[in-house]
Amino acid sequence: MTHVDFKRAARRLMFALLGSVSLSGIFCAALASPESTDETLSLASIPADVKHTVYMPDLAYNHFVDGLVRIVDGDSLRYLGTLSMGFMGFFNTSRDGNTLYTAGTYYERLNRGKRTDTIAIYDAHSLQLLREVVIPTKHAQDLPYPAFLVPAWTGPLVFEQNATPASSVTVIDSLAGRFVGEVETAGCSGIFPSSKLPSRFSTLCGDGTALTVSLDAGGKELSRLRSAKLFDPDADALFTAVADDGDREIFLSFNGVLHFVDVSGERAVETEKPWSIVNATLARENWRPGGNQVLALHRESHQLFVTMHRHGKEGSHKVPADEIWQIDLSQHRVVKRIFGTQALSVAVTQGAHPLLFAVSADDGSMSRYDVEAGLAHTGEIAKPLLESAATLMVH
Amino acid sequence: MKSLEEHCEAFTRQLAMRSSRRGFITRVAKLLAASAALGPLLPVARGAAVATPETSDDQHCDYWKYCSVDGFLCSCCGGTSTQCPPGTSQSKLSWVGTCRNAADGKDYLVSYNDCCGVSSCGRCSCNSNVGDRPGYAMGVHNDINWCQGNDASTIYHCTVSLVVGQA
Repeated sequence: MTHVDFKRAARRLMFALLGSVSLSGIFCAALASPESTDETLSLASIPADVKHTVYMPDLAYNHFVDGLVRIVDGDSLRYLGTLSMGFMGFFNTSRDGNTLYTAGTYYERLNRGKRTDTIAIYDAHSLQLLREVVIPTKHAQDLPYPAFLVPAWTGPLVFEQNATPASSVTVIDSLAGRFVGEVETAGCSGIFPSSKLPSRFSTLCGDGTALTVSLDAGGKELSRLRSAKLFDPDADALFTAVADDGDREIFLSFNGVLHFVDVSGERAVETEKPWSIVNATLARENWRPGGNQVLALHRESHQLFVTMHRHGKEGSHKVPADEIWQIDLSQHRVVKRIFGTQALSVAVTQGAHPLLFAVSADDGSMSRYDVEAGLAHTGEIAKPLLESAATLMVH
Repeated sequence: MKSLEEHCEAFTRQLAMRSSRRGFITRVAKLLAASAALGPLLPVARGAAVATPETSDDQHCDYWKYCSVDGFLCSCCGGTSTQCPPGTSQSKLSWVGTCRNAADGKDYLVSYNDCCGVSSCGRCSCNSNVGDRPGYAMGVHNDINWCQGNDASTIYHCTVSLVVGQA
């Protein structure tokens, strides 16, 4: 092509483009209704007046590399937005609810290439990325339990579970956007931060103890102390899901026994004798807890909610709920039982007028219950909501 | 991989030491010891179940040697029960279960490997949780991705089941 030919061709292309732009304008003008001529494109954010935000990690089991977090208004049940969390990611919120954290694995070409593991930090209202911390490529590719990605009770530290399968904990400074260090926790899993020292956490171990590790402000290890034996992982294991109750964590066993452990000090200590939520009558039907996030605590009223199934046996600890039970921790008894809607996980709001939320393994829907109205079912978001229900939390 | 293998061997020994003689975890640890001659495989137990077979269809979760499968069956994904599908890579880690074959009434050790490097197959999902425990008992923890030990890609695709001996 000569220089002249090239100029002609360029001129023809310019006219063609101009023509198509004009045609597009005509079509757009024809399609737009008169009252929409001044519409402008903008970006939504989660309204400040949303009182209860429900977060539902979605495993996307059939395409694991694309894990999501579904976000819903717990009062209006309006869908608010979505976060990506990568391959087998974890999710949690900051203690004040203003910041969201995801941890996941990413490959530069989706399924291959260089592996990068990160903890991403998002603004909870705009859902925009604030910062990201590249962490060692040891992120535990496991279910998104809140105990696998946990902020300290105060301050900027965030702890994340690793497994290679050797277990360790990654520590980051979420404000500085900085990797702080890695703490070896062989044979242990789950992270339960201390309410007294922000740089201290406990973790459950395969020998039935809890290991408590205390760090200094720079992440250097100060102490590492094991509790007395708390449980028997062989005979009656504790779920990874827990209920935070200030200084103590409430653990639940596969057979339905509650364990109360103070994790605030240098060494974890049992605070009261374990007791079963399944009385002798209910035990005849072998009622047991089952699911993922199997328990939720309303702290002020000491009411615990648990996903339960009948005919429990070895291996049934992930069976979804035939019923949801309300247990009064002060009275040590079940005070309410409702239909379980195949719930896999539950979460409850704190403060006045608590609302209980549950995600169903059956169809990925979410249900809402009014605790003060005797766990009356007050709404749901039917499918399509979750492709692969896992856990949920509400803030 | 050598350090990882050493880690898993030590982990298995610790499991055996920490558990009661009659305990479930101990039984799994014994299975691991029994399957130490698997050559390139690096078994990590995550379930030992004696299941009653209900089908001879190897594309069905109730096929006798799938008693501890947690994932998609490779026999539905272009592979077989002993072959990873084309384009994937086999996991360096595996876990072991014990399954009863009704044809002869005997129990067999079955090694389960994940096939990796391609996004989820999404077909024939099976999940048995007999003997499964949370991550503090990693050797019998079935929620975790066992492609995690692979260097090239830890993306999970499907699971194969290989009979490796009589239990």
